[in-house]
Amino acid sequence: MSRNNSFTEEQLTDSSYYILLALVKPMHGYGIMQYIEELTSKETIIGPATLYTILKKMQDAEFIALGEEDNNRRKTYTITEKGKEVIKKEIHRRIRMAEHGKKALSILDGGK
Amino acid sequence: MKEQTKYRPSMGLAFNEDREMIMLREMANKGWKFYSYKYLGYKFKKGYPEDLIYSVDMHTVKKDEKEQYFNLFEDAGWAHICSIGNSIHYFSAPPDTKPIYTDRDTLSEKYKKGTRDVIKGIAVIIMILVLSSLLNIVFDRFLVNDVLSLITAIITGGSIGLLAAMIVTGIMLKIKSGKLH
Repeated sequence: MSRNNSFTEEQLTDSSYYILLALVKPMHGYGIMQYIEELTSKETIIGPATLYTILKKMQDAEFIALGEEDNNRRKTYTITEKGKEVIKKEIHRRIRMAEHGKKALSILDGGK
Repeated sequence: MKEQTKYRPSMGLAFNEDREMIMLREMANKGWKFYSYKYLGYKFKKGYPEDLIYSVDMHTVKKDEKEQYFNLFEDAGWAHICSIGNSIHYFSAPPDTKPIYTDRDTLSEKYKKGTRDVIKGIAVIIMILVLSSLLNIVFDRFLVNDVLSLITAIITGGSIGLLAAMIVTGIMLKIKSGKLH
């Protein structure tokens, strides 16, 4: 069963990337969905089943932890030290990828 | 006033999920609201016509995780209707609500989880099958008891049928999760 629950040696999917990004500040589930929608101007949306599946996996992988309950009986999620390492690595990887893209773009645009 | 209800059998989620979700929407349009899953089918209550979309999630939710799980759906606009056991959950929402699954990876996992649940079910049925057929032999040959022999024969036959149905369901779910990958 752990085969499906592990994040090891795996790059984050776009949804996982945005969820972990959102959690650099503690947030509850609905906050994460809203934050990502606003941040990406609705280019990336996260449905509740997708969010729950990923949150569960990230808890199992100890990237995040469940925090206190707020006055609405919604628990907040917080990023762990391990999670911080993972997201930093992933951000840098994606920056490098975007830089490679930019290089290709300048060639494409220059060739016009 | 007498409450009006209707019943429609389910053809099995693994085969017909999309069509059944559309059927539930059509029923809601006519004022029949799906409120409970019983006897392998959907039960409807008469209400006012409303356009609602339906979704089903497969996720084993433990008792202490229930609140977190259902709150998340509710906050996103999906009302919980009912569950089968603790692993199949039905939801409804207004048509413009975003889908419960928004990426292929997690959607594929939904069917993987479904497959795992079916495999667990198959294991249980095989145990019942072995046990009841052994008992059947005992009551038939050694302890000669017609009533008990008949009962165990029925259980054996029933579990063979159920086993066949579950194997087919498991294969269908496996194919579904594979297609998404």
